[in-house]
Amino acid sequence: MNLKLTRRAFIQLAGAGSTGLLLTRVELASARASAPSRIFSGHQARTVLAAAEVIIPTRENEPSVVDVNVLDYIDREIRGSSERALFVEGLAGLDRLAGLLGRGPRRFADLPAAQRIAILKMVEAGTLPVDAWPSGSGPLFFRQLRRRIVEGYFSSPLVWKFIGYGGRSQFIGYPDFNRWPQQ
Amino acid sequence: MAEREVDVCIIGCGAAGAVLAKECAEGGLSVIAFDEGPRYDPFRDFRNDELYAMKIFDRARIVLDGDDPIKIFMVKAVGGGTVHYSAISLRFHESDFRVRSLDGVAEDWPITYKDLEPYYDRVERTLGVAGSNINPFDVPRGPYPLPPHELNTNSQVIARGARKLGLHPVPAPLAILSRPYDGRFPCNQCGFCFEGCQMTAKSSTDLVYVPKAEAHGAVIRPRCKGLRLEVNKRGLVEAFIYIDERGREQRQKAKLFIVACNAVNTPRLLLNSTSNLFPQGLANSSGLVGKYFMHNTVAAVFGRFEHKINSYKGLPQGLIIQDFYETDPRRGFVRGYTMETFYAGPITLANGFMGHVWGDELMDFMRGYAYYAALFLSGEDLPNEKNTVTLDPDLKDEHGMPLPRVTYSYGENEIKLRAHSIQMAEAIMRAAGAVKTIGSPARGTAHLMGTCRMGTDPSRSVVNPFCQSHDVKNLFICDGSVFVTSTGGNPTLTIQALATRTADYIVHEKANLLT
Repeated sequence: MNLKLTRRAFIQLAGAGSTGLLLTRVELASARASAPSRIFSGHQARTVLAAAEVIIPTRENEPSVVDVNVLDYIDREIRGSSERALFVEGLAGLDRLAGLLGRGPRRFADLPAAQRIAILKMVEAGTLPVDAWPSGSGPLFFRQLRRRIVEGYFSSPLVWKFIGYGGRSQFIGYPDFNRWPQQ
Repeated sequence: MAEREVDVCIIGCGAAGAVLAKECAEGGLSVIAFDEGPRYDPFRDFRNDELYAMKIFDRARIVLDGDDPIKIFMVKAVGGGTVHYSAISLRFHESDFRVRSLDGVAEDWPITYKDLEPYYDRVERTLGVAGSNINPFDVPRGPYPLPPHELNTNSQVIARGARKLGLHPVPAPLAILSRPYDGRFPCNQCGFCFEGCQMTAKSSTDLVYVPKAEAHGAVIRPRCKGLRLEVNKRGLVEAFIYIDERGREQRQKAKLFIVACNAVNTPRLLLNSTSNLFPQGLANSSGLVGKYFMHNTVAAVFGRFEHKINSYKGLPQGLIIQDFYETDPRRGFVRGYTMETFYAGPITLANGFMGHVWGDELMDFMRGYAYYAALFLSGEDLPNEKNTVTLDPDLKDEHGMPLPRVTYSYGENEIKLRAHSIQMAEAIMRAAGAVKTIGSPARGTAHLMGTCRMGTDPSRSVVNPFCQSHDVKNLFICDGSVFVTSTGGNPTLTIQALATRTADYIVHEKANLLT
């Protein structure tokens, strides 16, 4: 069920997730999205990564969503499928919500992490101002976005090494399946 | 190309359909069996890759409804769900057939454990079930065809915790070879049962039953999508209408039809088969086709340990605990559940079991991937007339057939049972030394039961004790749909035993049935 919010209430909710509405432009942005996407514009790709970075937040010594090229995975997965339209609409929706947050043009990818998280939480729950997301596809978009980012990230052998997953084991199997691992 | 008329036309070639095909063909009947999905070659088509398996397996479009909408997994393939299943092969207990008499809820089955016992024996031998007779809660039974599998580290740690609490952890009876058997390799503990077994060690029905059916002349037709059954003036089914692998509509005539598409797609096909004689759908004079949908209450608990366990290595479902299977009035609910060890690849955990969180919470969980032991809790879901499979009034598939809509809400007993199972799993984890436990609220099931239930009263059931429609003499319904109760275990072995019994009946009664 979509909770309809007023624009003002939305701004307050989104602001609550950050240090208030005093937005300072930080980090990120330029470093992102080096490899060109075949289905997203440069800006759309930047937006996907800005979401991916807060859905899968990693520490310095861990492979990041950029390191494992999550964007390339999403590119390959949704090219030529109806999911692409859902993504394009959703990414524009994220920017519209970001624009509601402050004065002047502001885009999702430019926001600090806390505000991106606050926006994504509302998209996930569908608690959005009606005019910010007329089609109501927010929760579905979030589900697919989250799902694809997780798939792209956790299918990477780099990540398997980081979390200690052995991955493919045929045709030998795991001969040590019943022995306690060395700590 | 109209196929020539056969004795038996089977729709759905999964856990039940493949068994029916083999047993009917061996009984001398001419058999054709259709399946909507492809026929996989394990060496060529399966990979040790959870993402790849998700893409090839989960294609069902189902509308979910109710207070507790539950995601339904099914595999469209020859072999059906057994291609993907854990292969836990439990017999139902004697009490499972008498829930009304013993607990005052649900209904009794019109058959007893004794009716199925010889068929359980036969199916276990055909599959090569590996197990051990040390389970004090198992039905009295002979030895398993094959010795049990060795436990992986996850099962070892859980066995330790359970024993400390005085419980009885035992190797799960599995339709997975622990020794070479029937020309197939034994399991090499690769850990990828759910992705389709590349070794052919898992006894899915496409590997075990289909070749034997074909050896006796049965024809298997993959990639054929059923639309409806047509009846003649005498009220008998005359033809099965389907879309073939090239997209053309076809008619298959037969003397006898068996619908075995699972408890979602079987009622869908019957409800979609309306006619002047049967305006509310085929076999539905009771109005109960699609009613009493059941699954098994699902929950999962992860225990985080200080040391690595590497639960992804080896058979994930190596161990079961059935101490809480039978009713104990002190618990405040009736019936019970089976605890089963399990584990899965990182995507299944992150998107499935932990699909409700993201950000730091998700990553904190996933950083512990190698450090968890895990228990899956499969409980009895009591039948409720309001839990249904219906035809969606608006949404249709690419052939214009209405999509199935599954409406499901947990009842009070399920909620209590589920909470108890989570508490006990947490206690086992702590006893085993877990520093913390994490429950998963994920709701998904592949255990589909109860939408065409069996009984002796045609006004209160859809099929008779031999899975024959009360309304239409040459129509049988044989899969999880006919279940009267869901039990606190896994349904597949019982589906297979019922299919064997039904086929025996058809072969034995062919003079009457095939006219």
